[in-house]
Amino acid sequence: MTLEFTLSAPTRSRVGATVFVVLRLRNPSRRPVEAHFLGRTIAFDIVVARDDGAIVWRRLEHGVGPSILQVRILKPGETMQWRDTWLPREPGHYRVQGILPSDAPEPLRTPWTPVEVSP
Amino acid sequence: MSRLNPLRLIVPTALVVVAACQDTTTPLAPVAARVTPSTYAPQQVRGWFDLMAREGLALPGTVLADYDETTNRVVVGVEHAAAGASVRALAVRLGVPAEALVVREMEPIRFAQTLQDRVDPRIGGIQIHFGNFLCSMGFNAVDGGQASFVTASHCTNKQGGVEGTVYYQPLQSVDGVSIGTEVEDPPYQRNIAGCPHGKKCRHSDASRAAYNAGITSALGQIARTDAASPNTYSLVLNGSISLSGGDTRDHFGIGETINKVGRTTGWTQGQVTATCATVNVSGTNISQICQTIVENSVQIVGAGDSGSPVYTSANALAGILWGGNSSGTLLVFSPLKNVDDELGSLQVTP
Repeated sequence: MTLEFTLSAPTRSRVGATVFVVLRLRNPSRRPVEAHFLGRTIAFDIVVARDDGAIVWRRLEHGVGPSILQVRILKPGETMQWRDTWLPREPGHYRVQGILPSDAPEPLRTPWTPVEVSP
Repeated sequence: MSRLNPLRLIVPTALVVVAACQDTTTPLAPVAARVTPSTYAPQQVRGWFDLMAREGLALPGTVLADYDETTNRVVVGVEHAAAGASVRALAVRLGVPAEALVVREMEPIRFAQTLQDRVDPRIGGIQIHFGNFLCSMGFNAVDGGQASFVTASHCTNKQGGVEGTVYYQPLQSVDGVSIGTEVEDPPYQRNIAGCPHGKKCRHSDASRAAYNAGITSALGQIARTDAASPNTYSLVLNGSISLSGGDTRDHFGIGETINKVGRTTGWTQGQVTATCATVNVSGTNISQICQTIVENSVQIVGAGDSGSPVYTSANALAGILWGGNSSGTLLVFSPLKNVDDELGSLQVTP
């Protein structure tokens, strides 16, 4: 699959200030690309971890959703987008990653993005 | 390829080249050990190969044709002796000397069929398609004399309520003839016993589709993969499992081993960790009442497994899988008892 999966989040935030996280899936090619997703409403996950790897928040941590597979064709240049927020409770160095489950053995993952949270 | 030149291997178009190419040494190796090279000019034998490939593989029961460089002979694989006789008769007509021809009986080469391929007759666990979605066929059932299959309610155009969802197997683009149409999918309701405030509820995420005329199905059969053990994720089909009947419990034993087979993760297995639990469906206002939860330390469910048949260690049909957690280590299924209560009493075995 030639899709680009990226995450946008502010590099700095404060305790108690909402961090807006945006995931984007883009077809950078000149051809339509078939993409597979989990759910009728596409399921996406966001993971926030400390520098030492300990996970402090996971969007889909406790949810149980339908195991249906959705097939979408992304046109050349088309972008799909998902948003959610995270509320930091402690200062520190964090990393954020977006995950798109599908029927592939491994889900699509964005690179980790650092977020510095000050008191 | 040491002995069988892939460029010269020709199999009938209805068969699979990949399988033939992978099976290189086994069928032909004994020939090299016993047969000395023929005395004809290799270029002449290649010409005979061209003739036999073109004409011979049009005969019923032929499997492959090859020019074997080691023995300098034309090799024709056939399924049975009658086909071999036809090939030898053809060789005589084409002027191919018997000394330059080897006719070998061998197994026909077939597709490695998977749960995501077209499967006929239709059985539980194979891929079904509607709209922009893929799910798994649950199980075949007869309801009021109507040949049907059951899958998840959310594997219809609208979860709860009958909209006449049209199904294809495995994909409309592969087989444009629809296999069935949704005929039963009770609506979700508020304020029924056990339903949380603000939620719409049912006791099963299940719907029934009637097979269209001319579509064949095997009652009581669910897909068997070639996996020797569960949780290997093989999707290669290896026949079917005969269901021993329906398990009509709505409470399953904690720790009880439960199986499922579906188009994404194949045959998987886990242990019951909760029984008759009310489960909120993430991202919706739906709750499912009296569901069974199965868990493992490895993945046992994936996107596209919705609708999969769930069965016990005794091969008794236990229900319909509808959901899981994001990591796939937990699945939820609606017990067959609840499915029967909502869809009517279904005959699931002959």
